[in-house]
Amino acid sequence: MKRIFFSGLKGGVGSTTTLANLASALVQAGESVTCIDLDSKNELRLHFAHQWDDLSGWSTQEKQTLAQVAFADADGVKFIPHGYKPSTLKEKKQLISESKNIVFNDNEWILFDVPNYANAESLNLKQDDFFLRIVNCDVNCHSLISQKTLMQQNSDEHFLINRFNSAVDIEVEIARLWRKQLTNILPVFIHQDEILKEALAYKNVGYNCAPFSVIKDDFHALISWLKLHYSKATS
Amino acid sequence: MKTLNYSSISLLLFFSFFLTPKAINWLEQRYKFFFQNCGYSVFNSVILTFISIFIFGIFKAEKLSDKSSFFLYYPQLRHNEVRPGDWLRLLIQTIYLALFHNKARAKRKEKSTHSIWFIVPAFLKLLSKIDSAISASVRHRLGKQYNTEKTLFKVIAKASVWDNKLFRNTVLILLFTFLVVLITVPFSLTAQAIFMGLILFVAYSLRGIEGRMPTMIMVTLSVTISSRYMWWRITETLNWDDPFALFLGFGLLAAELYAWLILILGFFQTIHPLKRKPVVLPKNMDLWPSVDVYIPTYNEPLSVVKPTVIAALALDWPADKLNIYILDDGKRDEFRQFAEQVGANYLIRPDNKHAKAGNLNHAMQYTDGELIAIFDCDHIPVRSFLQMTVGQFVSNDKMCLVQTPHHFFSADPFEKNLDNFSKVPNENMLFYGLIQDGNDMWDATFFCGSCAVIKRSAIEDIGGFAFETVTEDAHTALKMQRKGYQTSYINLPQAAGLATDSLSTHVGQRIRWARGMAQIFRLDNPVFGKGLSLAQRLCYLNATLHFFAGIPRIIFLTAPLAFIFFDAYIIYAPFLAILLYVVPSLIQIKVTNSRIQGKWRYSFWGEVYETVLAWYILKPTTIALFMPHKGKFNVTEKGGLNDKDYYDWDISKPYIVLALINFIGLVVGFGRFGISDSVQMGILLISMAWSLYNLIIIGAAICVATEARQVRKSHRIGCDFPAIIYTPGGHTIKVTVTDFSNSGVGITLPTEGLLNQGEKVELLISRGRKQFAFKTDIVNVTKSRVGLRLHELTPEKEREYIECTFCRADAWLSWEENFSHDLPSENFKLIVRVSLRGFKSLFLHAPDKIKPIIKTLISFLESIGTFLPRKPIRKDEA
Repeated sequence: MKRIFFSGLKGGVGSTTTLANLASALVQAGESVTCIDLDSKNELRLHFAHQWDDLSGWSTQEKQTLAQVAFADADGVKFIPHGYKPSTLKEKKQLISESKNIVFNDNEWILFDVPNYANAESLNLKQDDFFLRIVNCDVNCHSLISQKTLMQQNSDEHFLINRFNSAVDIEVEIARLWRKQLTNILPVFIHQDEILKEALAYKNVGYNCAPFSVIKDDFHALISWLKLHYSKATS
Repeated sequence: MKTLNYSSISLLLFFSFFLTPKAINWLEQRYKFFFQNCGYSVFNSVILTFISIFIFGIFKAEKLSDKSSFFLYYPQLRHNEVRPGDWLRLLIQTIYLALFHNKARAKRKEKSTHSIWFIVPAFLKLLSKIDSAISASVRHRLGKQYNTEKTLFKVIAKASVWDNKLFRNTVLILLFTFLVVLITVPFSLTAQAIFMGLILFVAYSLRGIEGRMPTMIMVTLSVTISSRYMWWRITETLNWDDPFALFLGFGLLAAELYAWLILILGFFQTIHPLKRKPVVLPKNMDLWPSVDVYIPTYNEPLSVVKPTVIAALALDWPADKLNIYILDDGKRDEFRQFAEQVGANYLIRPDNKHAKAGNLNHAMQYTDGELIAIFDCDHIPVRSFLQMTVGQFVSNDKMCLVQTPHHFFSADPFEKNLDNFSKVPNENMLFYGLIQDGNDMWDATFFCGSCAVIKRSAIEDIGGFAFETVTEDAHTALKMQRKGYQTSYINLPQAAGLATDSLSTHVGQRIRWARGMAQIFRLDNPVFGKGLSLAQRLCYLNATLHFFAGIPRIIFLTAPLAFIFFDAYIIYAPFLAILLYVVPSLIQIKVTNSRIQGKWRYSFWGEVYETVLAWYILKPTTIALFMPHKGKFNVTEKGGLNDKDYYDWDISKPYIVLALINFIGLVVGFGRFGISDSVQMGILLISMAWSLYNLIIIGAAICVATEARQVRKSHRIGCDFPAIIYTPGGHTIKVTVTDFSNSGVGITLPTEGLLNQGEKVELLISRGRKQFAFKTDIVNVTKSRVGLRLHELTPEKEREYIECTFCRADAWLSWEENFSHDLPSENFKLIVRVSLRGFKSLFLHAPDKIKPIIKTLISFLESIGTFLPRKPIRKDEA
């Protein structure tokens, strides 16, 4: 069981989108994937063409009836929406600890969409859980990261650059700086591509909408990196 | 229309007295066809209609019943006009069609079976079938297991008796004696025929077998057969009674001896190419030596030097152990500023003594790196250059030089003017593809002036780069090897540059090499002096002797004329003997060379390259041989362009003279044909065939002198690596870069219609983990192929662009894969075509004074040609 926690460094960096695309890419690569939305905004479901006015989710159900809010999209990605009721940190932690009872497959990938105020410590994560912090190459993110470094908060997190555009000088500069300073930044990154935004209008993920886009390669690279990471961790 | 009606009606009236209505109808159709469809005049149409009647007496009527098929049988007539003389053409063609078979030419693929010669290939096919059937059954009998360890050859080679020195030497002496007997024993003509037949048979049967062993056997056979030929020439074919013929005969013999020596040395040199692999560098970077990169320049423009310096700065090597030096003998401020701007060092010296060698020696006083990498100012290194080469020095203390090939991304004058860039291996490829690798086997690789790494202490040991000759590079290597240092060659193109851009500069460069090598031959002859092994001496000897080819080549190009013009028997032997000695030897040598060199040099092209240079290297090598200190270093110019085709008359003068006398020789030969007796006739035949061959080779040389125009100053370089397009709409597209130049990039899209002309897009190219973006305009779109033009690059962007393109480690690695193995017959056809083109262009570019004469002559010949009968055209061809 591979549990990955996706969280943006701040709002709007594209963590939910990245999660949804990775889930589709993984399923198409033959993996079994379950996504769980821990964010009260309840927006992950939209990427999987879930009916927009269906507001049910794990927060609206009792533990025994969780199966009623487990869905699957056309690709075969299984997901559990958050539901319209706000949830407390305690409830989230409880769901995380119970997640191994939700899935039956030992090799299942479980992707969590985590609100950006949470971190590995507050969620009580274990050693083999993988916390992925999505960042954009901008000054805002840079200062937030520096702040975190000062507070010694990012030792158990990995950074993934999303929406990277090498045609913009400052992005290139910041990326270069991070590669030097940060030890836990992923060597792979996701390119800036409007298709990731537009895809929502097709009730789909960008990964499925643009056969010639470079983001397909980016997600393949991300999958390879993650698999390598897990094979290293187990051996 | 009125005339038509009038004339046709009157005709019909006239004919209705004699003919059936069907025939009249047919005639009417014929007439209408000529008058209306072809637009002939009334008179002509009538005459043609009458002639048709005559023609249809010969053909079956249905063949021409279709109107348009008339012209299939008369291809020389025009559809809509009648030229004066068409009557004659019609008559000749009709007679031809009536007398000979009038079927259309068969398709090329269909084999013609009516020729008696089809028996030969069929017979050979049958033989090979029988052969394979027998081998299959024998193999079956012997058992299916085929043990590679216990072949007869290996059993013998590994036998312990070889450890016995006495036994080994005895066998060697016996073999040698046997060889000497084979070479020297006089044979009767029948015996010679059988001997040669046997050798060729063995060679022919080895043809298809891969591996080194068959190559060795082929070489042995070639050495035997050519030595036997030389022995025969010396002992039996000199005409001692005729002093004039003896004099000429000696000349030819000397040329042949030279060619024979070069052949044997060449075989020795290339018998076992080493194909050295790079040595991996130690993990600990502290053990990596420090490197100075020297980029000597004299008069080349900054635009040529710039990419080289930028690429050198981007070499993958620890920054504190890498220093770049521009050695500017031109002492230009522009260069100083550029060096400061990019972070290279700039060195000048008070004088320009000893040219390039002096420049390098001067720089050595101011730098202190353990290794020195040298690049001519137009050779752009790829980033992995030092990674691939330096390992040799770390693993071997005695290593003093690692040379890599000189690769050119633009066409050299031969390729440009003959239009065969990347179709026929160029002049350089034999040397860098095979000979240097062969030299490496004998530890005799020599320095070629650029794209190499040299050990500083070795240079200091010999007192600096050699400046006694104009080829400082080879001489420096020779001197180091005399001191016991080792050299190596790695056949991986790790740098690329511009080839010389015109034939005259190319010839100029070769003159320098020829002069320098002759100087080395005179001043520091590798055969003598101490410190070299026998193999090294032979390799260096071949290198220095190679450029003396001028005089022998001229002799070969004129030798057959001795008999035609002066009746001098320079090979004093009967026709049959000459045939039996010369032809098999030539075939055997050609086949062997094609086998050894075929990947890097196609058959007959060597002769063309040599013929072009022959006249020009003749003088400097001869002078250098007698006065080795004369002559100065001349710099090879590069990077120019000419805006229209022109013919270089100056440089082609000697070939034109040679072509002319060979042509006259042929004509005279034809003239003498009738008045010769049977003995002379045979010799005459051989002389004329030789002369014709010479004419073909000279024609190709003449073709090279037609300078094709070169419009684009920045050369397009083919490649194949991934990149990303970032569209104005914010989408990304994965693309493949297929070519690049200084100012533009060609890409292939994954599918058509993703981009439109005129759009501005960003091109993203990755280099390692870094990604670089370049602003471009789409200048053309053809299906999925798109041409991008780069916006004006800032210095910073220019550096990134060069790093992403020219400096890619894999940029030039596939250069050899473009060429298939040599096919002698195909290349002979190619040479003949090139030769014909050469003569044609000679006429086209003739001086204005004689141009009208030549034009009239050509049109006269052409119009005579239209009278010749022709084969009917096939329908699908029309």
